[in-house]
Amino acid sequence: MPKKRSTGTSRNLRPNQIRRNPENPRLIFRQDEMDNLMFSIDRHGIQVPLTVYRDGDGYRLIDGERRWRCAQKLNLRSVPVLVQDKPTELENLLLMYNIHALREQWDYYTIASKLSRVIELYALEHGQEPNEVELSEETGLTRGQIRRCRLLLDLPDRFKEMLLTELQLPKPQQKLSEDLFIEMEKSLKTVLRRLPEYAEAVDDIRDTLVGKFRGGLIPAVTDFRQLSKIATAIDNIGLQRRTAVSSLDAVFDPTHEQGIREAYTKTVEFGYNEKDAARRLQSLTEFLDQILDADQVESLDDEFLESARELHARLSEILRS
Amino acid sequence: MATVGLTPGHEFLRNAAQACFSDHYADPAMHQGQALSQNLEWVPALRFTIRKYINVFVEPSEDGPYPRLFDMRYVEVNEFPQPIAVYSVCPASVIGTTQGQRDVKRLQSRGFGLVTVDELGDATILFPAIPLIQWISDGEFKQRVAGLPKGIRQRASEAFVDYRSNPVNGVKSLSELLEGMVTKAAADASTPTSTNTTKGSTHVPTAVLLGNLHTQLPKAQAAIGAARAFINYYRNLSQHWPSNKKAAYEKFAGCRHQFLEGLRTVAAFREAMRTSGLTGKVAPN
Repeated sequence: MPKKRSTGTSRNLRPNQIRRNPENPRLIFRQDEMDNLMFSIDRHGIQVPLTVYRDGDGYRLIDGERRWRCAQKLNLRSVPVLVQDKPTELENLLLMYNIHALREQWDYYTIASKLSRVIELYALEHGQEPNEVELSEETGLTRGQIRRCRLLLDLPDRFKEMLLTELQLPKPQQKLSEDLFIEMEKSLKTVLRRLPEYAEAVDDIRDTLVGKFRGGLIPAVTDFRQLSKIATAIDNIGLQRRTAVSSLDAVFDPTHEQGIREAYTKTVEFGYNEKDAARRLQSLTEFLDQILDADQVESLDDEFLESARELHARLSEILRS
Repeated sequence: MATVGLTPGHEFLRNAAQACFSDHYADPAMHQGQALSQNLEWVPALRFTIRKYINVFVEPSEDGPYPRLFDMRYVEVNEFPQPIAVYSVCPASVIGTTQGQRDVKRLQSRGFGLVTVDELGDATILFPAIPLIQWISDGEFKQRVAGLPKGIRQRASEAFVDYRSNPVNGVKSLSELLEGMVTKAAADASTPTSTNTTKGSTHVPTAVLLGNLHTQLPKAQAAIGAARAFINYYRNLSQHWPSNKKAAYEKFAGCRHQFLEGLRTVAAFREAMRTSGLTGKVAPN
């Protein structure tokens, strides 16, 4: 955690004396939450002072950007603030995380955008990069959140810019989301682990997948999980490598109108269903063994016996053919 | 220091609307995030001035066409001593939903304008805003003309259309309607044996017709007096554009009062004529 800081001095400032903090990782503000806050401020005023530090001839925000934006919209003459000492860059960033991330749901891009800088500054101060646990302790983020952030951080810059541009559109006009990139990156990692030959073309693959998502050929972000399952089918259900590659080639080909779901259905869905059914059959067999061992056949109710007869008829049919 | 939008989506919508209004109003000076006055607790995302004294406020709303701020500041804008017309700017995709349609109607019924922005950032003015101080809703108008005969309602509706685009013209149209009713009343009141000049004629000044009616119909003298006052005041209402923002506000606010007063006078005059045994209708144009 950042060093303990003084509580600061309390005073009132005109909103235009305050500047936003460029280190604030939070770039995206949602209208519904801003509307609610504005309504509350209009009714009850600003109940919790903003936190600022002196910066040149004005003040720089540490905490309270949403309240400050609302205060400007409502043309408030002054806002209550606590003026603190100017923090170091690392302190400033860690304050942002600890003040905000614990209090409300942030967009992952928001968190990720400054996380690499935190890692850099931490390394300068401590002589080595923080591990996941240390990063979690410093920032207040969970390890799961940090891992998801890293997926976004590792994206090539142009995809990050693509995502930021999209997030800055009005929500109804946004098509690409952080979830899309997080799911896509997770699945591509799995694919590349199994089939490293795709590594060279991975940026083109990203473009194709984003294009197919925009065009509706990939209708849901959760479809990317099926992409992983095609790649892991080689190990999990004994799919032939060349079949997996041919299926993925079609998905990764921008000229081929093949979505992930279709590829999954054609290639591996039956195999996974079969594997799942085998697991259930095995579990049923174990249950029946227990019944026989414990001599409890007479305890089975009519409904079970009826289902067993139906199963028997189907099994006989399958085993005869 | 420059102000920022409430959300990044607001900035996208505001910029699209700015391009659209610049084109529509031949590039007026645009102010982003600047207060009109310290006394108005609303800093619009964009504002500019048209026709010298009409302030136009533009406020983005990304989730739906009706920003919550419009309800929060409706009274203040109406009481602010300058005419202000207000536009909402929203993504085109949000007006198609049931709630979106409901909000669009709410905007229209309260005098707000609407601009929609498509995915490419192109903005379109769907319907215009008029200064809120001038605004009379369809509902209020219909309530005022309910019970009047079809001919009078039609002429009043024409005056209302005039009012929406130019309030001074609307008030003048209403005084012309009242003159038509006086002419018709004079015609109704004339008899073949009558020697007076009450008979409706375009050649007889309305003042003379009103004077004769006043003598002939003693029970309708209050309504005739009100009609005379209205016609005298508003028949030749000045078309001069106000000399400053406060005068503009007073003129717009006055027009609203005058138009509603005119509708009340029309209804009272008709009722008085009917009570006096006349038709209470309007002479053809």
